[in-house]
Formats: sequence, C-alpha cells, structure tokens
Amino acid sequence: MDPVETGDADAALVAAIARGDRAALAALYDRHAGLLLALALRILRDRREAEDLLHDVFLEVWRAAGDFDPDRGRVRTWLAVRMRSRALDRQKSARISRNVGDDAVIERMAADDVVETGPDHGRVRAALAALPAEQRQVIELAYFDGLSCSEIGERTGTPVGTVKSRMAAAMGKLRGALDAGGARS
Amino acid sequence: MTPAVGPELLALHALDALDADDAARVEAAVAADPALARELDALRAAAAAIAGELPVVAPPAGVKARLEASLDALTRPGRLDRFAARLAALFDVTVDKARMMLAWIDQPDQADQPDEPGRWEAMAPGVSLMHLPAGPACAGADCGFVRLEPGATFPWHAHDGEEVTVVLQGRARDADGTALAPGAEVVLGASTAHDFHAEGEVGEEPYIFAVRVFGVRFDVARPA
Repeated sequence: MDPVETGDADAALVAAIARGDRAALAALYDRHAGLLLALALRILRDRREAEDLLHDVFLEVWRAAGDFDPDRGRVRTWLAVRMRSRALDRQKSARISRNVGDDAVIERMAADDVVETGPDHGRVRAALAALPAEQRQVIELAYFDGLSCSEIGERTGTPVGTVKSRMAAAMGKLRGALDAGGARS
Repeated sequence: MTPAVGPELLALHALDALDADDAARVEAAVAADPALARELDALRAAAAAIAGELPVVAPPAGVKARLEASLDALTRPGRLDRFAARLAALFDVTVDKARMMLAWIDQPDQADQPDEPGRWEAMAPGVSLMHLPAGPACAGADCGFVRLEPGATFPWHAHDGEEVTVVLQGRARDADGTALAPGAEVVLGASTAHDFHAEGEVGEEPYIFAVRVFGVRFDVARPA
C-alpha cells in the first residue's frame, strides 16, 4: 500500500466524519480499531474495559473530527494519542480488578497478527528492536503505564537522571527513524 | 524569560513523563514557539510507534454494532430515553452514555462471545443478561440489564450487598407478591433473597429492568 495514500485516505475520512458522514466513521473504525483495542488492552489489561473504551473513543472521534489538523500529524497518531490518554485516565480513576486471563489473550493474539502502521513502520520498528533493553523498559513504562521519570526511577531502583537520559536517548532514536523516512507528517 | 527547553525535556514530555512543574514549563515554551510545537508533534508521532509494535486485536463485531446504536441514540430520540437520568445516577455514567446504553437494549442477541458488555446473552430459559460498563462508583458491582420473556422466572438468588433495580418495560411479580411495572424502583439490602416471574402472554413485550448489585449468589435453596 502506498504510504502517502494511506495517510491521505485517513485524513479524507476524518474530514468526511467532521461533515457528519457515518460511513466514513465506520471505515475509519475498520482501519484502526484493531490497533486501538490492542493499545487499550495493553494499558488496561481488561477486555471489557478496553472494548468499552474503544466504543467511547470512536464516539469522541465522531464529535471531535473537526479538531483534527492534518498539518500536525497523521490520523493514526491522533487516534493513538487519544486512546492512550483515555486509557491511562481510566486506569488511574477506576481500580480495575486485574484479570489474569487477559494477559493470555494478548499473548495468543501476538502469535497470529502483524500490524501495518504506515510509512515509517519498518524503520521505527527496527529502531525499537535495536534499543538496549534498559532504554526500551523506560519508554514502555512511560507509554503503557503512564509513569513519570521519578516514578520509573522508584520502581526500577534507578537514579532519575539515568532514567531521563535513557528515555531521551530512546526517543531520539525513534524520532530519527521517522526523519530518515523524510515523512514529517 | 522562560529558561530554554532543550531536546531532552521535549522528548520526555512527548511521553508525558515529566513532573507537573517541568511539564508546565514545556507547555509554555511550546505555546510560544511554533517550531518547538512541530518538534513535539513529531516526537509524539515517534512515541505512537511504540503502540504500533503491539499485535492488533480484532474487536468483536458487537463493539461496532454498539457504536452504531450509540450514534443513533445521539442523533434521534430513543424509546426509553425517559429513564436516562435515573440510569446515569444508578450506573455513574453521563446521561448521554445512559441514553446509549438504553439504545443497546434493542440490539440483537449474540451467541459468539459470551460475557461481552453491551450485548444480550442467554442466562436461563427465557432470561437474558446484558453486562454494562458502569462508572467508578460501581466498582465491585454487577451492572446491567435483565430481560425476561413473558412467563419466564428469574432463578432464586441471594444478594451479598445492596441491589437496586429500575423497571424499564413489561410487568412482573416478585416472590413477595409485589407488582413490578415500568418506573418502579426496588432497593433490597444485603442478605435478602428472592425470585420473580414475568407476567403477560407469550409474544407480548418482555419484562426488562436495569440493575446494580454488589454480589449475587445462586447457590441458595428457595424456601419451601
């Protein structure tokens, strides 16, 4: 799939949603719901909560599509930022009883699916894979668990300055991988 | 004059990993400098790639169907809207979300994925349940809708904690003889037990109510 067209197609769908086009919302859902549900599950570790949040986030998209600015980035990023933020909010506000079974669900799914995330996926994926374990750990604790640098320091018994430099180094590499694609948006 | 915000602070902020003071400093700098704002957007896109590493999880079909029903509920009046405010209070959700939940009642039954929130699943002969995603105040409670076909009986059970029900449609009679009709609200305390029977003829509308109960057990014998 042509990456540029993928992004343009998403942006066109969001513009149509902003005009009240329900079919466009359904199409955007078909393209991205799988990734967003995976993200919600990874953060919340509860299937019911994650599915409910997926529903809520797409309702939000229906209402907020007019706010999307294609000059600021891709639709997929916009959606992921929204989902992550809502999932972390929910995780903090509600004490979700941890459902051990859902870890098994995530692992099982891991075996049989690969995500297509757009133009830079290959490069960013390679950059992620190349990160030293301690750098990967800090960005995952921040991204999926919503922990601050100080909290990560406490949890891992690492000085906060070290956490910060690891995180910044990791982000620099991911950012560089995006740049290497020449795809600013 | 705000101190300069370097690439490290910006990178950490893209992951929302800064403490409040530093985050506010970065936000102020970003608001004042479009180039910095663009760089933060790019960093956030890079951060989103972390999510892109996750294997996709195909959502069950019910989520999309529920989304469609919810959009319907937002754009046109629903037949059970008059209960929305009471449901919002019962389930600790917004009135909009309560209207959507009421719209889910008319969703078709499912067989494929038991226990999915927002979809009907069979529980006993003539009895179906729909689990609902309620708000934080309902943590630890079972929340949902219950539907009985006319003539069906909900099995005898005991409540570990308080049970509140709001009748939405149809008619039923509780074990103690109480007649239940739309609009009725019944509050039962902990350690109570009962069953109830939906009235009406086969083919008439089912008896449906909303319920929030903190613990329910079916391993209790009905007194003779």
